[in-house]
Amino acid sequence: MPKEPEPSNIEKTFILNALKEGIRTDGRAFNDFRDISITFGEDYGMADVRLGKTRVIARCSATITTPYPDRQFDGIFQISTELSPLASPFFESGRQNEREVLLSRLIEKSLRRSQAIDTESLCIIAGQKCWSVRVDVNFLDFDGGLVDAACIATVAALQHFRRPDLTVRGELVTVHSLRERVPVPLSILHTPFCVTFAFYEGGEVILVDPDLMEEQLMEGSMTVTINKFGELCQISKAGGEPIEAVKLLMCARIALEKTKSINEVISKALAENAEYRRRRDNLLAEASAANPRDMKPDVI
Amino acid sequence: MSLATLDPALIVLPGDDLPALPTPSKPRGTVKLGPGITHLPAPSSVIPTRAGEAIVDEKKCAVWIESNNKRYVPQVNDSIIGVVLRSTADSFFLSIPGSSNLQSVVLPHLAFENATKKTKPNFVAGTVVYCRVSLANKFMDTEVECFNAETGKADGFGELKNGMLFPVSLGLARRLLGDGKKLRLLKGRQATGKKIPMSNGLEAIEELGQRLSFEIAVGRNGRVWVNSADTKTTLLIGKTIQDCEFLTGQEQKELVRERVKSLQ
Repeated sequence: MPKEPEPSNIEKTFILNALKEGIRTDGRAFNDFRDISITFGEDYGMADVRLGKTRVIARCSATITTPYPDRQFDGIFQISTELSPLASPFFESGRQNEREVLLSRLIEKSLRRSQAIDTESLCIIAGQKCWSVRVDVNFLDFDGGLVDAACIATVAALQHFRRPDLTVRGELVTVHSLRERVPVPLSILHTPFCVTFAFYEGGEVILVDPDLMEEQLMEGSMTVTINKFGELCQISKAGGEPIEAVKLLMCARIALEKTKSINEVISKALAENAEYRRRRDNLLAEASAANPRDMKPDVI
Repeated sequence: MSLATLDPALIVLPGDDLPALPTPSKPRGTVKLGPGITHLPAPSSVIPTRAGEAIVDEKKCAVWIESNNKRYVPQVNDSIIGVVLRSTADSFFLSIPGSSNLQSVVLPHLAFENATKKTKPNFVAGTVVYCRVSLANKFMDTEVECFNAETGKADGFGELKNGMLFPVSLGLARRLLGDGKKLRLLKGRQATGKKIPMSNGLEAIEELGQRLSFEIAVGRNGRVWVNSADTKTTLLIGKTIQDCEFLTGQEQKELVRERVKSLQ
């Protein structure tokens, strides 16, 4: 499989000169994210996120399994990311390369290890039955910013997901179908987001959310994961030019701002989707005890 | 403008029936089958293999499917923009942005205007060249050259210095080079009833050319090279060309005027 081609000399000089003049080639300001658009699938738990030209689909699913013997009171939460040739001809399927390992570890660190999901709430019967929640992240188009996009998609999918409701009587567990009882959202403790920074000119120029060309030309990068309460979940700076502590603090502050706005975008998309679902199947009105007799379901 | 406003019979899907084939003017003339059309030997029939607009050119006695794609497959005589990967004893190896075969495009050292064994160009890795495909074959390495084979002159081919490359779709690149301009104008006029504001594909460049000074080279592999005096102008030109893909001629002109005004 061929290696990804480097940007040509004229692209390199043009982009770097433009940065010196304070211009980004796609017309954004240095601190701007690309446009984020989120759409949800017909089923619960599927989020399709576009970050500029990068496109990621995350699918959340849950099954009932036995918990790990050493963690009897915890459910299982897994995230699987796969780079396939679908996104770019330079990704090989089946073989993990450095980029893929870094990506999956970063997502893992950001979401699983920061306890974004309350795994204890996934336990059904201690030591015997628990939910296993799994998020499959697939990349459909690649223009840089994989970590940021994957993180947004995963969080959106988790927030959108509903698992079937259960009744537990002693050791007997009944799973209610989605029609029978209103499905339950996952218990999400906080929603961290990754913000990637690219450094140029020895750390003088800092870009938020670099695209593919900017990623290829950067001197160093750093990914900050932070939630909207300003709690820093992780900082990843794998190599590249060193940066000053003050700059790091500045980046964290920018990341907090970005996280808040991403959060708003997701909440808006979720609200719109909830409204669409309410009109589509009117589940809530049907399930409501105070269902007035004269109420007719909305006709779409 | 939606496709539905065009004559609906012109849009075909793979396997559909084609409109009537052109009749050759000479008694033993041939009909040329262009991209997206294949010939099935038994029983002898011609069907489209791509979705797109079926174009029948009576003059050239040819049929082809006009569709848009992102990945480029080299064809002889295409002008393309390549990037030098490395140099060997007698040739450069190029990568063609937008194409999937990356290692196998050869540009011989002698394929330049007035090149001899003693005076050959010295390109480092990453140099951008504008060249013409001279050999495109499924079983052999693609070959390109930097001169017009008929006159032996450079004719604008060669190294592209400074400026910036902008990716566009292959369909837009073809339109920018003026492919099918006459056909498209003709169809705009023929369309029954309504006057369709078809773009001939070049309004944006012509309008930009009247207002700004710049150099431009369009590669059929979906890259546009633009060079001008300053960064902002270059970016504006590249961005405008990219944004004009789905606009009518009039809209293109208006967009260009607006953008140029905002620059000053």
